[in-house]
Amino acid sequence: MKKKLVAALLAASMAIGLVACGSSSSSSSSSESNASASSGTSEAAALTESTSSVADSAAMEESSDSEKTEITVWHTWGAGPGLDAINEAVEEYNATNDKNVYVNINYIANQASGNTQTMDKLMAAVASGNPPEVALLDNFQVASWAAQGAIEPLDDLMQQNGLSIEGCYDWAKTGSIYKGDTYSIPYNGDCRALFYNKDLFTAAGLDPDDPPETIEELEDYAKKLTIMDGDNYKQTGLVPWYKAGKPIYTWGWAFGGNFYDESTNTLTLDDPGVVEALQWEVDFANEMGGEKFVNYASGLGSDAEDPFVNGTLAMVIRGQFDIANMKEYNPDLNYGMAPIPSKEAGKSVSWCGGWGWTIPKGAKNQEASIDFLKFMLSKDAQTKLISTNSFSPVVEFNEEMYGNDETMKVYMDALETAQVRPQVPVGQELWDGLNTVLDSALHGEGTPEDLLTDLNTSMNEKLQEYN
Amino acid sequence: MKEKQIKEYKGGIEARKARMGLIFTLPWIVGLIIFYGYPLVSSIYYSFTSYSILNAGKFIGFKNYKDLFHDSLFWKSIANTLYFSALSVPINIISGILIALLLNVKIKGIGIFRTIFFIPTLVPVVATATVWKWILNSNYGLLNDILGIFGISPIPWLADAKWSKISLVIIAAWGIGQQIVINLAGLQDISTEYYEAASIDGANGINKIIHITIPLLTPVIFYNLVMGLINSLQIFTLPYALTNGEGSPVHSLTFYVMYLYNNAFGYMKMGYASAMAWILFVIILALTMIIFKSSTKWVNYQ
Repeated sequence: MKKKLVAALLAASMAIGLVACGSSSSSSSSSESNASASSGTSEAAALTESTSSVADSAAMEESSDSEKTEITVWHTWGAGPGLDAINEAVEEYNATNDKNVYVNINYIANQASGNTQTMDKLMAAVASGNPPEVALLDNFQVASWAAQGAIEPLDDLMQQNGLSIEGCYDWAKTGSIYKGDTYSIPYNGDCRALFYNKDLFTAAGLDPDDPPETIEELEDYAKKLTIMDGDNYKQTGLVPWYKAGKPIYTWGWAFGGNFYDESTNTLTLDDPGVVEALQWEVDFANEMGGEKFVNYASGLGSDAEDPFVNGTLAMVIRGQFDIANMKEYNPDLNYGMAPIPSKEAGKSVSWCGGWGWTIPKGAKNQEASIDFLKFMLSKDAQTKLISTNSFSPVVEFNEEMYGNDETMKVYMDALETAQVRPQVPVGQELWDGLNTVLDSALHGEGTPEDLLTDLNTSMNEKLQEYN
Repeated sequence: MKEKQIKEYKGGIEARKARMGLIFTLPWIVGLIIFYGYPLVSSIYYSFTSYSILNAGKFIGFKNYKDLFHDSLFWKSIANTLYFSALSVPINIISGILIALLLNVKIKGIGIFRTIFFIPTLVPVVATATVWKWILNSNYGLLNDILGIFGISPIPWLADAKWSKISLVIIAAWGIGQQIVINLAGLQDISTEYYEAASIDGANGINKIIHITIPLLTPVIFYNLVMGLINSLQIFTLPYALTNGEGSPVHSLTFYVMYLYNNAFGYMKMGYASAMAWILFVIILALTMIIFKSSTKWVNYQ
């Protein structure tokens, strides 16, 4: 009887485990938090396994005549269009390359939290002296890995093999370079804009074809778009720190602030523009109801519960990577995309995140790897990889793809001038630190100026240790 | 002469038995030394270096420890962890005993009730965290809806630093099935003779619980106290999954091991994290020793 009970319990636990793994959604392109990133892991791993085994058998047939150089590549795209695209590109490379290289592509899960994008497994592999030939890294982490001496500088190899990143956007180039050396080959990029609900604009008597351009207008619109139901928020106009507005970078740059002085290699988080931006967020929260508004905002959901998707939030800053989400959860949503409003009219600035291929220290077959990376940056591969999930880092290819698409114009303009997070070896700590500052400021635990000054002091101290 | 031979012979058997025993346990011992002993000892060394996993680092003496004492988040994470343990451990022990007493009653279908209370412990912690995130959501959460029926205005469970740790205590109390099972075993171990004797002397139910059950359950309570304390001081998965590793709001859910993990694998400061690990070890050791010392005063064995 007791054994039966134990067996039943075990079976129940397994069933629960299966259910827990059932839902999957992964986007490795964004740096925004994504709670469900871990849940897609097992499914995605299974997918990769099956695709690579198909590729394996194909390679077996070809490799009968001569010895192939096999290179192992690690990436972080879970299931979805990102994974399909990368597999398609790799298959083509395996079938067509003239260097007799066979690429073994592997999905490696990120650290479970969406907050930290470090690949723990890669760390262990490099430390043990047996790294994969190529690994994909988020560009704001490239400096950390380079400073640790864990990835190879690529300039010589690139030159010998005729690989150049000159055709890339500035943000992609900056994101690949640490202290003058190129450490990563850009793979993709993402970009942020103001999303606004046209129907809600019309209902509030605003022109749906005239989105706000300045911070002043944005605030004015936000108030007009907020509808209270007694003490509760029935509809809100804007939550500045929701989605891609969460990183202080977004508003700091919109207020004309600077986060980093490259010439002196110092962070400038106490820059007047950055302080003003954070102060604006705090003031905005206070006008909207203070603590009540902050608590309401932290309970906002995602996917089908996403307030912008279900029409209870009128404006939000988000990335192009969310377009697919909107299509999935509410295809009828009538929304527009516009440049991120700025303090001064006409000075809109967005920022780009992106991923790049790196060669870990001590990796074998570096020549073959560079040949593969050259292909991945070619038009052939990039046209397969471009989707609304991510842009190409190469100016020319995006323009060919989206040049005539009116709705994407906002991104085509933004990509040209977009900022990129500081290339410092304390990128992750800085990211977490800025999130803490925002959190503390919104909960009234210190003024924006004090908080940013303190963080700036401690971060610069840490940065000095790398000089 | 003969006796001596027998002795030697016996000694030989003992020695052989010991040798065989050692050989059979060797795989385990080797594993323990390589995978536990070595990392444990080397982490002492690493705590004095700037080791980053990717880089061996330099020997920097007590710098990591000094830096820790000036790290406000380090102190905050200790305060959070102790606060949580001080709330969670007693609540879990008391509710664990109460529920075990209820589940010890001889009624029909008691097995079903026991199963119901044990099931939450089988749910993976990450799934638990996800479900509770919805239940405790301040805007559309189930719990606030239920409270709303009684006219209680919405509580910002996980949104406000004042409530977040209490929320975590509630979630942690959901998984006390393990303790209940141990308590049940302890309850069934208490000889019925004591109860019979007490009944003859005219003791009622409450008296029996206070004067027989609780005192004789103290060895089990002692075990649950020690294990509960060690586990709660090392709490990681639940708050990490609940807050995406951020410990928000305002680091009210940044617990000691979470901060240790972020330092080691997020910021590549393994030396710093090793120093943190040893400080935690000393804290746990000290608290456990205090409990052990005090146990002679309150733990009764049958």
